[in-house]
Amino acid sequence: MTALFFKEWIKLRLIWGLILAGNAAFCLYLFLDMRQQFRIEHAEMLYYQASRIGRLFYADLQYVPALTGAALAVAQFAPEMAKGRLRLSMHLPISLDGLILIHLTIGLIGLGVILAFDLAALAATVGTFFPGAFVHSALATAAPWMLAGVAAYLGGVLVLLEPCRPLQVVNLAVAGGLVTLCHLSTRFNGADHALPGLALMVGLLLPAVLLPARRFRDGGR
Amino acid sequence: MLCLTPRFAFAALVMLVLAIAVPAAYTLVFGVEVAPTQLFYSPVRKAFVFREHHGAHDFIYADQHGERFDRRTFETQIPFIYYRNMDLWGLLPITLDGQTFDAVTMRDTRQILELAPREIRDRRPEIDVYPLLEANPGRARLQFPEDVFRMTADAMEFLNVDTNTVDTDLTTRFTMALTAAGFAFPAGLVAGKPTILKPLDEGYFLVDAAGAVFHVKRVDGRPQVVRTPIPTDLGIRHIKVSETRSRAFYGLLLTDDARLFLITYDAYRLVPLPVESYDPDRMAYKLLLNPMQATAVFGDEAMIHAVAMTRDFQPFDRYARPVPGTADMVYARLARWLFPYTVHLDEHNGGYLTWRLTDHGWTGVAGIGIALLTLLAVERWRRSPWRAQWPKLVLVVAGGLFGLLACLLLPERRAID
Amino acid sequence: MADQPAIEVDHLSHYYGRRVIYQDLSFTVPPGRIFGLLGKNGVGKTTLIKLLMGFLPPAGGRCRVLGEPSHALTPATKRRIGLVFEGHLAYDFMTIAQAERFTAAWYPTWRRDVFYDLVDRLGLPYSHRIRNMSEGQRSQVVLGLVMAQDPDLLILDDYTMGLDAGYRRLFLDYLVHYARTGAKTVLVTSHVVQDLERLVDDVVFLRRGGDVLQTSLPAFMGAFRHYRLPARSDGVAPSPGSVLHGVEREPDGTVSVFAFHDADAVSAELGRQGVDPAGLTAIPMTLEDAFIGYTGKY
Repeated sequence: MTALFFKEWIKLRLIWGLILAGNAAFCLYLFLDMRQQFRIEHAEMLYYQASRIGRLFYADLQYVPALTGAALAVAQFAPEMAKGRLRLSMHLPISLDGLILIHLTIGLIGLGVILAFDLAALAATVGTFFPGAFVHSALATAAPWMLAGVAAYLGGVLVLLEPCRPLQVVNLAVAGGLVTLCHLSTRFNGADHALPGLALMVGLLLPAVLLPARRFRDGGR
Repeated sequence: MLCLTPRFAFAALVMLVLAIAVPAAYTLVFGVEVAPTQLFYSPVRKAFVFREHHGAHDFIYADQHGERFDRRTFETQIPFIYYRNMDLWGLLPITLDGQTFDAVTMRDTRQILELAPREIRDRRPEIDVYPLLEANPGRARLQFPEDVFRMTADAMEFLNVDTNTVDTDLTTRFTMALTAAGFAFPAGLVAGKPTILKPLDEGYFLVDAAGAVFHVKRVDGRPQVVRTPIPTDLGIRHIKVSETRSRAFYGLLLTDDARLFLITYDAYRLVPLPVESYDPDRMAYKLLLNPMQATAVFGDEAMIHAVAMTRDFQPFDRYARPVPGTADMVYARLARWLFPYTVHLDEHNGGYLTWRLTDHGWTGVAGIGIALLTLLAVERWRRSPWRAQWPKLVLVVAGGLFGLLACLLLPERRAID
Repeated sequence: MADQPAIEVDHLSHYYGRRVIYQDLSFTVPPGRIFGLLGKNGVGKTTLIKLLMGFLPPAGGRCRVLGEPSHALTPATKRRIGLVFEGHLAYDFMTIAQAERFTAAWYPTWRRDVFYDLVDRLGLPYSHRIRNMSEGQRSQVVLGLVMAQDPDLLILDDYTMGLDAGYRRLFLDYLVHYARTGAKTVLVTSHVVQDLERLVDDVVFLRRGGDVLQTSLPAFMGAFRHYRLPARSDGVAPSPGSVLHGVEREPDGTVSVFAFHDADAVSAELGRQGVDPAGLTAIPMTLEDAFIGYTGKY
């Protein structure tokens, strides 16, 4: 198990670092953009826009987690699928489901760290200019976007592992559907009540990913 | 555990996505928009008149007795609504029951108050930070102060928006004023209309921990707090403040048991409004006021109700009629057979995305039966072993067409496992 | 346990859609033998290797490896089996040292010395990334990894692919040495049949439709013969049957006859077919010649 962490670390550290750096650069942009808003407009107008009009100063963030999740899925599983290298790991003395779930755990930890960073940066940015209620609201608003990141990661794995092309399309549609559902709300706190149901659906992806893994092991039939 | 087998988890996921996406796509392709019926009391005709939409460009203008008219005639029946058209057409001033109204008096005496489900505090998200406008701005337009307030456990706390720090001076002054008036922290509801796009500012109505309603304004920079006589045991769910030049009503007050009141400027008196058949979670309540009478209109997708009242809010006439809607259209009927239910994730009657399940009654059940028979036929044709089929049966029983599609999209199991 | 076959293929059948690959394939690999799996393209060699490696469940029959169904091996049994995939598959984002460290973690009897003994010959620093190696260098790393695993059974899918003569020889020498000294069971396929002559004890010839011949290499080479008939003007050629296993007309007009019989029996059969056996000469054969003779050129 620690050996798998070692393997994934070697495989992912560079690209993971790049993705994290990309997220950090984006968060910096978000901060500078908001600071600029406060320089050119009256703060009370921005408060009004943020709390009453429902303007999301951090709306640009919404697809970043999904892109991050998808990128991480590709970084982690594209090298495994090229020439069927995953067979090397599948022959290791460990059960198939265990093998896949450990890979997913590692991927989700990597994703979780980046998403936690995004949330922390969001909280810091909003908290610099707005009181706590706005920070809470921003975090709740960004929560379904973070879930979309998880959906994009697990959905990406679902697509990559599937050995049969038409089914890859089905899997892509399912993953795309979930990511879309996570982005349905355009208001602050809009998905507060929808989140448990969305999380449940995204959670179903975890066992579902084992299906294409087994099909890959069995020669894609 | 059943739900943890990868095949079942995948199929269930596909089914759920389909249950949301397929009806949405179906409606996108075949759906028809029908505008809600507009219902008014005509002071000209002394009867209810309405505009009803039957899809496409088919509008009907008529009164409650079935007399139909054209659009222009319809508008002339409700002059306080269409006073600007009336003016343009040279029909003003108009004399009704011996009273004469010109465009200016009409504009200044008419008022519309509305409470939609999505406005109710517990049906929409809100960031609990509010600007308290200067009620006496000394200029033509209202303007935002450079501070906002929030109700904490023991204070009305003001924050400077430029520095994002607490203004202790303002906080102390307003908190002391509230406490002096008998306000019990922490606050419950905070109700106001935080915008400068209104003719004047009436500040906020605050419900305190004991249920008492306080009226707080900022006048010449100083707090002005009134403890209102509104009963503390009312069970207030929402207060909608809407300032108008006429200064007759502060706004509407909704209770937990769906009673609705007007709050008058005169000693914060509560005027009860007709609420029979009114469901605040599903219906927008519209109160149309003019110098002749008041009309309450509310309804849902199926039915619209109107109550005509005298100027002192005594009901003297009622009318209700079904809304044509889309339920009887072919595409909607077919959908009720095809889909066992529809899963919606939308902002229905509120500001939150919510999951809704619309069940389709016995047609939906029949649709599940058809899907089940289809599954059995397909599996028979595939010569699948019966024992392996029960998770599929579960899916189709649970999801009808959606379950069936999910089963068909599922990769076939190989003979060996 | 000692007498348990390393590989046991029993009435195996497999299909792709409606296409039958084999319907009733059976053979057994006893422990401690080096086994060559030979067959021309399209006879299901790759499918059989996939079945043996556990990456395909059989459609019918049984396929057991070290006593367990190849498709449902327990981790303990997987530990006793080493696989070398076609193309010398490796995690090429790793360095030599990382690959060793990663693989070692899975095997309690890991033989680090075996790995580095082999890899040291490449003269590469341990920090060298596998991605940046030649095919030959990578094949040595892969062989080192699988040998250090110290498995009881080694399955190698076309190890020769992409290797030049030098690396092929290096690979082979190590493999032979390793298998012989450790009493390992090895199953190997290769499209360079010639190499196997130096390596295998037994061969399985796989022919279209699942026809299979299992024999020891010396027995096969001892019994299978190649004869040549001189070129003749009448162009009459014998037809294959129970005595004459295969007949090939050569470009120069001579006729090659392959049979599991001595010259007298072949002459008699030729005479019976009305073909003059005069000038029939036995020709020495390599394994490759025998393979082609046995399976046919086409």
